Amino acid sequence: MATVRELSDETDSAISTRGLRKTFRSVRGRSVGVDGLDLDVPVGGVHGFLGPNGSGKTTTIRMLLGLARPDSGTMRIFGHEVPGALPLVVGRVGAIVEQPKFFPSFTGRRNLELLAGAIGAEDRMVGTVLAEVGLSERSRDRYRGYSLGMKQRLAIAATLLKDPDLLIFDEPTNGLDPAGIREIRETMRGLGERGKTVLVSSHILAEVAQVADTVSIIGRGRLLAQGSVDEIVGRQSGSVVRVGIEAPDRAVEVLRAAGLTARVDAGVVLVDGVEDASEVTRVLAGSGLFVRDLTTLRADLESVFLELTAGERPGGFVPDDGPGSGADGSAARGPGAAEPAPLTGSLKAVSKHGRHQGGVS
Amino acid sequence: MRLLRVELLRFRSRALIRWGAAGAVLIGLLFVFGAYQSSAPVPQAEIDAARADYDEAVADWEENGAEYTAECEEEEAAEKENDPTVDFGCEDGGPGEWSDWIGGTSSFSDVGLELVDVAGVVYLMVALVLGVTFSAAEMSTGAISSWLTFEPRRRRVYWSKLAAAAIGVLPIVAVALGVVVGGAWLAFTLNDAQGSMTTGAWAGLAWVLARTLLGAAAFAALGVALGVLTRSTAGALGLVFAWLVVVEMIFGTMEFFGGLKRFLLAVNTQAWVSGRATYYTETCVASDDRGIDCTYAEHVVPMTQGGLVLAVLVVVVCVTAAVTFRRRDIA
Repeated sequence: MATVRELSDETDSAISTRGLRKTFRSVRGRSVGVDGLDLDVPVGGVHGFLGPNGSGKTTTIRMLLGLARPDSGTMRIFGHEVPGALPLVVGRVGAIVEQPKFFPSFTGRRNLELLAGAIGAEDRMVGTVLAEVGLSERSRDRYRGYSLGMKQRLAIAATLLKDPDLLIFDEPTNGLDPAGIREIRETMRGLGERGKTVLVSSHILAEVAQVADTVSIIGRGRLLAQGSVDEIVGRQSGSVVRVGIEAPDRAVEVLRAAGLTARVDAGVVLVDGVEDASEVTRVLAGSGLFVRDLTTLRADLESVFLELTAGERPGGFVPDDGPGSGADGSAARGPGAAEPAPLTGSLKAVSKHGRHQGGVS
Repeated sequence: MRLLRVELLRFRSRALIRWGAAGAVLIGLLFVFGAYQSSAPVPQAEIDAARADYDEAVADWEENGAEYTAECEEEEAAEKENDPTVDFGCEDGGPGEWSDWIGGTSSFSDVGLELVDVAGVVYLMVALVLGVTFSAAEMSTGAISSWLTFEPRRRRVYWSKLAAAAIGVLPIVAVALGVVVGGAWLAFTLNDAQGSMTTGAWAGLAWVLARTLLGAAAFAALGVALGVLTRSTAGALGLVFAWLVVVEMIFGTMEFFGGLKRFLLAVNTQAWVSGRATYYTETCVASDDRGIDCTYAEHVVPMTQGGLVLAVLVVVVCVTAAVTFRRRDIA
C-alpha cells in the first residue's frame, strides 16, 4: 500500500483550488470573501499569495486548513481533496494563520508539548524546534509575556514539529520590527531552499518580492494573476525606455514616424513597449539626433500588483438572494465582473483593471 | 486516546483548574468548620444561664400554672365557636423538660448525610464552572485554530475535551468530598458526637458520594459544551446564572408554572444527589365566605427521575455543541 508521501508525488501542485467560493452572512447582507478562486501552488519553493487587505487570502487559507467551510468549489493539498482528506495530509502541513494563537497562561514549551502530544511527536522534538527558532532560553516563560517576534518564532517552532513539506504563513511579518521581518524572511527562504513548499500570504509587496519564486495575486476573492515573478512582471508591463536628448519634441516625432510609442515627460522622452533599446538609438541617430543618456525602465512587481488590484476593493456585499454558486461548483459573478482570461503557459494573467490607484502598505 | 491524554495534561496544567481545585478543598474545610461548630459542647456559662431560666420557669409554673391553663382553655373555647377543630394545646403548657432548654448538639449520624448532600450540589456547580473555563478559554484565545491545524478531526477533538473534563474533575471532587466527610467525622469525633452510624447509614453515604462523583463528571461535560457553544467563559457562566435566576428562582416560585416544578434543574439535581427531593405546590380556590381557601401539597421527586432529567439535559446540550462545533467556522 502506497504511503501518503508517495501518493502526493503524483501531483506537481502542493495546493490546488478550483471554483472556491466563500460568502459571509451579516446583518448587512452577504459579503463575498472568496469568489471562484482557481489557485495553484507548485511543489517546492516560496509562493507569494498577494492581495490587498480583505481580498480573501486568509479566508482561502482557513478553508484549506479546514477552519472554514467553503460554499462551493474544490481544494486539494498534495493531490488530496480537503477538507475530507485533511487527516491524511495535515501531518505534512504547518500553518500560522494571522497572529499566532496559543494558550497565554502556559509556557512556550508547554504549548508545544501539547501540540507535539496531539501528533505523537517525540518529546525531544520540542527542545529541538525551540532551539531551531532561538527560544530555548525563554521556553519556560509564559506565552503571554512573549514579544510579538517571539510569538511568531514559537508559531514557526510549532509548524516545524511536524517536519512539514508545506508551510503556510499568513501575514507573517505583521507587527514585527525590521530585525524580526528579516528573520522571518530568511526562515522562509531557507525552508524554500530546503525543498519545502512555502506559501506566504501578504499585502506587503517588498516582503514577498524578495523571497518568492512564484506568486498569485488576488483581489476581491478572485485570481488576478499567477506565475513566476519574472513572468508576471514581463507579461503585465513592457519595458519603458527613458531617453535624454537635446530636442525631445523632435525626437518624439521621429520615433513616432518609425512606429514607436513615444511621449515627452518632464523634458525627457519616454518610449513604451520597447523590445530592444538599440532600436531607439538607431532611429534617432538616423535622423541626426544623438542620445545623451538612455535608461531601460522595467516594471517591478509592485507596479504590476497595483495595476492588477486597482479598483479591487475588499468584499462587496450582495443581497442574500443574490447570485449563488452554480451546481458545478463554479462561482457566480456579479454584473460587470471581469471574466477570466485564458491561461497561458505557467503565467495566468486573469484580469486587468484600470489605472493605478490607492497603494499598499 | 492520544488526544485524551493531551487534553488531560492541559486540564491539569491550567492555573484556573488548580485554583478551582484549591477552592473546592477550601469549601470543604468550611463545611468541616460548620460541622465542628454545630457539634461543639455547650459552654458551662450558657448551661448555667439556661439552668437559671429553667428554674425560674418551673417556679412560675408551680405558682401560676393552673391560672395559665384556665385562661388558655377559655380562649380556646371562644375560638371553637368559629372553628370547632381548633386546638390551643393547653394541656401541654409548662416549662417542659430541662433538655429542651440547653439546645441540642448535632451528631455525625444526624447531620452527616445532609452535610454531604449540600456539599455535593455545590461541587456539581464547581465541576460545571471548571468545564466551562476548560473549553471557553481555548475558544476565546483562538488556540483552537492552532489545535485544529494539528488535529483537524473535529469530532475527535470535541469528544476528547468533553471526556478530559469529565475525567479531570473526578479527583478534584473526590478529594473535596473526602475533606468534607473525613473532616466532618473528625470534627464530630473531637466533640464526641459521632452518634450511631449503622452499616446502612454508611452505605447511604457512600451512594451519595458515588452519585455526586458521577454528577460532577456530567456537569463538567455540560460545562465544556456550554463553553464551546458560547465561546466565552463569561458568556457561559452568564447563561447559567440567568437560567438560575429567571427559570429556577422566578418561574420556579410562580404557582402558574406549578406543573413544571418537577422539571426544575435545582429540584432534580437535589433528587439525584440526595436520593429524593421535595417541592410544594399551592392550590387556591374561592371559598363560600368570599375568601380564598388554599391547600398545599408536597411532591417528591425520586432519584431516578432526577438522574433521567439531568442525563437528558447533558446529552441534548453536549450533542448540540458537538454539531455546532463541527459546522462552525473557526476564527
